[in-house]
Amino acid sequence: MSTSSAESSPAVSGLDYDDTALTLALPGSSTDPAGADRKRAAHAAHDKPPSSKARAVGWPPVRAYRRNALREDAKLVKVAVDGAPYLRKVDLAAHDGYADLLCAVHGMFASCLAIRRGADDGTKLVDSITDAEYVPTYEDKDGDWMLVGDVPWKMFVESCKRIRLMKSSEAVNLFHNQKFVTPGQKSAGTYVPQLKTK
Amino acid sequence: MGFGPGRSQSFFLVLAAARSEKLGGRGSHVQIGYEWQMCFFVCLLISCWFLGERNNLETGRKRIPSCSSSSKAVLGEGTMTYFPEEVVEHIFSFLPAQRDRNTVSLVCKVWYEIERLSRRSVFVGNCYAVRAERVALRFPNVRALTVKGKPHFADFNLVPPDWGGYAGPWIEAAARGCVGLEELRMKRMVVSDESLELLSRSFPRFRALVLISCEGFSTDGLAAIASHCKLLSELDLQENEVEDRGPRWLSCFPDSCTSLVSLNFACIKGEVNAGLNLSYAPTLDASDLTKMISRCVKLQRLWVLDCISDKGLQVVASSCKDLQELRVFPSDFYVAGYSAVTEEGLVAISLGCPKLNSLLYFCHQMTNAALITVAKNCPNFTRFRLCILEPGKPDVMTNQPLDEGFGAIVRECKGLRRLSISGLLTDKVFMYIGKYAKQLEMLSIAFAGDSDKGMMHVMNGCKNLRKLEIRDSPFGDAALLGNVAKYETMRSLWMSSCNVTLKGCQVLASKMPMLNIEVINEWDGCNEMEENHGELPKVEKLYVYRTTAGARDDAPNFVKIL
Repeated sequence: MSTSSAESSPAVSGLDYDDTALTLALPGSSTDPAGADRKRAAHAAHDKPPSSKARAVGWPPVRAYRRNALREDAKLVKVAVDGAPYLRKVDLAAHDGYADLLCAVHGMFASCLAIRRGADDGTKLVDSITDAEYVPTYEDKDGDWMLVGDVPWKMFVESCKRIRLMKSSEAVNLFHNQKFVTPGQKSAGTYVPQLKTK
Repeated sequence: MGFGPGRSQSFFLVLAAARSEKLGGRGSHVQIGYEWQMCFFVCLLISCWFLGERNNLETGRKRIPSCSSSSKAVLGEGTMTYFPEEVVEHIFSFLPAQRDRNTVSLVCKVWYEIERLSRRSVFVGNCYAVRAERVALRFPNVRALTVKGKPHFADFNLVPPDWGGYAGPWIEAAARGCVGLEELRMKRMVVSDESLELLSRSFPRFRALVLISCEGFSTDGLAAIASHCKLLSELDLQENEVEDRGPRWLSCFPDSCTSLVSLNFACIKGEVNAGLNLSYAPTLDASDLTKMISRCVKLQRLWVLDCISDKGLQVVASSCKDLQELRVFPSDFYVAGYSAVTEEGLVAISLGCPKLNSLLYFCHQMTNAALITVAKNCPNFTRFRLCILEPGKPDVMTNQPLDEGFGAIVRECKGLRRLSISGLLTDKVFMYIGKYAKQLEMLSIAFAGDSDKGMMHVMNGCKNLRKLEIRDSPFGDAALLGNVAKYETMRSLWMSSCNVTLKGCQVLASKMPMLNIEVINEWDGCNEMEENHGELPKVEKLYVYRTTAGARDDAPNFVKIL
C-alpha cells in the first residue's frame, strides 16, 4: 500500500493559508512547488489538516477554458512584463497569496524571467539574461499604480485591474516623481494624481 | 515456388481492375462489389506483409526499401508497371486508413510514388516528429491536414507557455507545396494571426478550419478567414485562448456567404438527438435538466456537470438507451469538496446504457465493487477515464487501493484504447494493465504506483501503447531505461514530478538517437538552492518522442534537448 497517501495527498500541500505577510518572501525554503510539495506534505500533515483549497498544479485535469468558464468569481487580469513581446492573463482568484502569484507569473514568462533570492531572504523576479530586477506593480480600481505586496492579499485581489512588471530603473523614476501611490497617501487623500499611464 | 506473393499480388490486381471496370466504378452493385473488394484487400495486405518480411521491414519504420534483388526476382521487372497508375491509384482509394496507406507505400518505389501523389488526407500526431516541408513535398495533393502540437498535459498548465507547437511552419509549408488544401485541423498549437491571414489567402478551395485548444491568435485572424475563404463551410473553434478584439470579425463574412454550414465557436453544439453539451451550464436546475434529458431517448453523446447528481444519472440510464459517450465534469474543483455524483451514478449508467463505449467521469469517491460491476455491464469501453478528485484516495468503503477495480476494467474491456486512472493505486494495477490491456494506445497516470516495476509492467506488456503520460508518480531511471526500444514504437512519453534524473535522460539519449529527449526545467537556478541531500537533481518535466526531424530549432531556453 502506498505510504504517501496516509493522511494527505502527496503533492498538494500547505500553500493554502492566507498569506498576509507584506513581503514577497516565500514561506518555505524552496520555490519549486511540485517537488517541494512532496517533501512538505509530511510537515503539512502535522501542521494542519488538508485544506479544502489545497490543490496541485494542473489538478484536477480540467482545461483552463472550462475552469474559467465555471468560476463565477474568476478574477482575470492582464500581466505585462517590460520588454516581453506578449501579454498573459492570470486568474487572481486561483491563487492563495503573493508567493503563489509570483510563481505563476514566473511560469508564464519563463523565457524572460528568473527567480532570485535576495539577501533579505525575499524573492524577486529578474531578467533571465541581464539579471536586472523587475518591480511588480499594479493598477487598482481608481487607476493608480501601486507596488504589489503593499496591501493584504484579499484587498489586492479585490482592487487589482492589471499587473505590470516594471524594470526597476523605470520604477525608481516613477516613484521619485510621485507617480506611485502608497496606501497611506491614498487614505489620507494627500497624493498628487499621477499622469495616465498606458 | 509456384504461387509466390508477387504473383498473388498481380492476380488480385487484375481481379480488382476487372471488377472495378465491370461494375462501372464505385457505387454500383455495392453489395457484391464490396465483398470482392474486401477479399482483395485481405490478399493485398497479406502480400504486402510477405514483401515486408522479405525486405526486413519492421513495424513503425518509415524507411523506403530500395527494391532488393530478391524482391525483383519475385516481382519480375516491370510487373508493377503492367497496370496503369490510375488503376493502382483507384485500388488504393479503397484504403482510407492512413496506417494501411503507409503500409502500401513501403512495398516498392512505384507504389510509394503512386500512393503519395494520391494521398488526400494526412494526420501528423506530433508536429515535431517530422518536418513540415517534408510532409508537403511528399504529399502535394493533400486535401485534409491534421496536426497536433503540445503534449496532452499542456491542457492542464503542465507545459510552460512558449514551449513550442507553432502552426506557422505547417501553414507556410502547405502554402508553398499543397495549394489544393481544403481542410485544416489543429490541436494544441500556437497559431498566429499572420498564419491565419496566410491560410486565408493561400488555398482557393479552403473550406474547413478546426482549432481545438489552440492559442496565439485573436479575432483579427478569424476576420481574415471570414473575409477571404470564399468556400468556407465549417469553422469549428473549441476551447481556444482567443484574444477578443470585438465582434467585428463576425461581420467579415461576405453577404453572399451561402457556403457556411457549420459554425461553432460557443460551447453548445450538435442537435439534441446526436449530442448534448450542457457542461458549461452550472445554473441549470437539476430537475429541469433531468426532465429535458428524459425526453432525449435517442441521445448518443452527453456532456454534463456533476450537478446532475446520481439521481439524474439514473434518469439518463433509464431514458437514453442509445448512449455511447458520457462526460461528467466537476463543478467544484476543490479536491476535498463534495460532489453530487458518486460511484452509484456510474453503476446506474452501466446498467442502463449497454452501448456506452466512451466515458469521462469526475467524482470524489469510488469503490472496487462499483468498477467491477461497471466492467461486467459495459465490456465495450474503448475510452475509460476516471478522475477521482483527491489524489491517492482509496476505495471509500474498504479503504483498499483501487487496483482490483481498474484491473476488472482492463480485463473485461478487451477493446480498450484509452485509459486514465486515479485514486489510490499500487504497482498491482500496472501489472493488470500490462497483462490485459493489449489494445491500449493511450494511458494517463497521476499520483499512482510504488516503484519502477509499475511503469515496467506497462512498457513491457502494452503492445499497442502509443502515448504514455505520467505525473507525480515514483518512477525513476530504471523504469525510464528498462525498455528503450519501446520508445521507437510509441509517439511520446511524458513524465513530470517523477524520480527521473538528468543522468538517466542522458543515457536514454545516447542509446536512442532517433528520439528527442526534452528536459523542461522552468525553475532553473532555484533547484540549486534546495538542499540536495547528495541526491542527483531530479528532472522536473520530461518529454520524449520519436522523430525523423532531429532536435527542433524553435525550443525556448528552458527546454534542453539531449
